[in-house]
Amino acid sequence: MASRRKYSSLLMLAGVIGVHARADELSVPDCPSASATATAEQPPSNNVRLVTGSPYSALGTSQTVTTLPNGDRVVRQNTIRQWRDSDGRTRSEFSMSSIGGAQPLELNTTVTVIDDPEARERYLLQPANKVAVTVPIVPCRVNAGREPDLTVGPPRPPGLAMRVSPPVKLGERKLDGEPVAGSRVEATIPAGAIGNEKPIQMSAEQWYGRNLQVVVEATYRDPRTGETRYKLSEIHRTEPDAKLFRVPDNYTRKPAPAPLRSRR
Amino acid sequence: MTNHPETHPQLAHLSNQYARDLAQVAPSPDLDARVADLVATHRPVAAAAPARRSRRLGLYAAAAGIAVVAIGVGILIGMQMEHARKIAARNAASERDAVWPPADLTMWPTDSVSFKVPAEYSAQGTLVAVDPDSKNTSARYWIDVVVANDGTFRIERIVPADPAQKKGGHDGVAPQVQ
Repeated sequence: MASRRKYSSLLMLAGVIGVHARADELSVPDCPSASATATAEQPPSNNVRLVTGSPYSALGTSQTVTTLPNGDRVVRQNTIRQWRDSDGRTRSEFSMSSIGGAQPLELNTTVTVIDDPEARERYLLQPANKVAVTVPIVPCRVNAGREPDLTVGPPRPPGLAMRVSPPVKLGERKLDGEPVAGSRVEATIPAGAIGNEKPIQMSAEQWYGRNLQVVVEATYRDPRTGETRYKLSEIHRTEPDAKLFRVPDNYTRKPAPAPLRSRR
Repeated sequence: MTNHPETHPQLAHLSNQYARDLAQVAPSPDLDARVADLVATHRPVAAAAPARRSRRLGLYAAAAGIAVVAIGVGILIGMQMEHARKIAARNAASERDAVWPPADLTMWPTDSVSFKVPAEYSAQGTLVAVDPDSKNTSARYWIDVVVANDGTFRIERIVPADPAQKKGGHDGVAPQVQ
């Protein structure tokens, strides 16, 4: 009799846990299609892809080489130290020295960002004044079986005439033991669009880790900025320290200032 | 007293006369008494003075040494404090180069992170991130930076900062957006 009660209690507990887990899954919507990016008419999306049950830590290194007309080369390197726990919380530390482009920017600073899908907030830490600026996020899941289309490609400012090819699949291979799937996007700015005599050709290629569910390697070529190569290294598939995903106790949380256009 | 054969006769004469006078000189008993008295009374004083003087000199030397060491330690501590202050100021300045999230840049579908950075043009003509609380040395701009999941760091837009909006947001800074 006592054992029957025990079994029924266990069954009920399992049922409650199952229902709770299902409710959690249901509360996270599917991610919108990749083409549904923000436009001038459409408000920006705060969707953040939620990946659970796949903890890791790694170092992403991004190196941009710009070749000047006189043949000289400018090499810029920035890094992203990144962690993700089994619950899908992430921490990224961006160590930025400089960013190239038509107007290069010297930064020499490190920025820490924590995404907490459960709290539905992104925290941008400001160590000098012990403030965590909060930004609301909307976690979403990429449908199982549907290959996430995360190809970045060139920036596509609204109003700029640009032809962007659909992503071309490059097949699968292994990078440092991680199975990756490749895709490439080609883009062209037609002659005359920005005062250019000839069309400007750009290409973006990336290799997406099937298990890690992040970009493991990428190359972006743009004659205006040069070639950017990104590679993930020091990959560890262990559960990171939970402290990394918490805002320090002595920090004050403040919401991000609203954009001016919403104040008008 | 014998004179050299080549000595001038006049000089030889004077020299001989001085020798005779010197032979006739007898020490005065009064002088002897005075000398004895001087020796008896002044010897102890003469003997004690160098010892005291050397002790005093030793003390002065020790005091001067301590003073030199104290001054040296003071200078070292001062240098260390100044160095620490400079480092702290530099760190604080770099930390104050804080960034803010622009509220109107999409994070999807690139798992991107965007920052808003205050910057000014340097003498070399490049944009340099600045302490938002520092006084403008030239026109200030807000730089929207987007870091995408493919590791590209991009300047999304550059917007001149509105001085009227400098104060009023977080930490005295409000972001500029389109």
